[in-house]
Amino acid sequence: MGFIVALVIYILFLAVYWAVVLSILWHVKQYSMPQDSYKWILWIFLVTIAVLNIISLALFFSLKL
Amino acid sequence: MIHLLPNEQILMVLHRHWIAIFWRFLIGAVLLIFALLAIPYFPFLESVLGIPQIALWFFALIYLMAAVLVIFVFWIDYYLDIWIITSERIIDIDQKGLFNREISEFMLERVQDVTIEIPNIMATFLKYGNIIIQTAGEQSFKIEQAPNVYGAKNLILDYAKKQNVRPL
Repeated sequence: MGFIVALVIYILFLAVYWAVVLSILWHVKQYSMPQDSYKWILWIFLVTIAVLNIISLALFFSLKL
Repeated sequence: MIHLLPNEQILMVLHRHWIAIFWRFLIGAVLLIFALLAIPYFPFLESVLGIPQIALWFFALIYLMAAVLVIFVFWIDYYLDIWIITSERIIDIDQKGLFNREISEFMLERVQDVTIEIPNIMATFLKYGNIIIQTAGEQSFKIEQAPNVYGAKNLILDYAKKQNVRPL
């Protein structure tokens, strides 16, 4: 039971988190200039976020609930 | 996206100088360092509070994810603040948070006077400043904390002059 509640809260957190990330990406796609040279910084953020997500998933399923 | 007029060319795209994002990034760095400073205390917290270390790592990671997202939002607010100088007009795109955006523009033929302002010692050394553009019959237009102010000013004046001598 405890695991199910924790899983639901965690999934809700991830859903909100990725909704914000995707809305940022949508803004970049819509409004950034094609010749912009700063796009590599966005990739750094995206890779960092993806790595932290994967580690958090691994840790969540290692928790003894 | 910006829709260009026929024969219109983009001459220069200006973002704010990096100093505009520096202080916000510093706040973000402090948020990240808090999490790293807490890590050595995890065994102590486990023995005192009885929370397993793996759970503490998990919460630290969630905190880090939130901190990275906050810095990402700071960045996007900076990144989408743009001034576009084209051969016909100046477009000012002001990103205010994530879903609030203000776009204003005026034609170069209305430019009457361009002033450069280097406001302080930091601006002098880091080579940024404000560009104040006076337009015909309207209030002045200010580009704040812009890099390459002299290049932008010359470009605006050159193209404004070309617009004003264009044959009818």
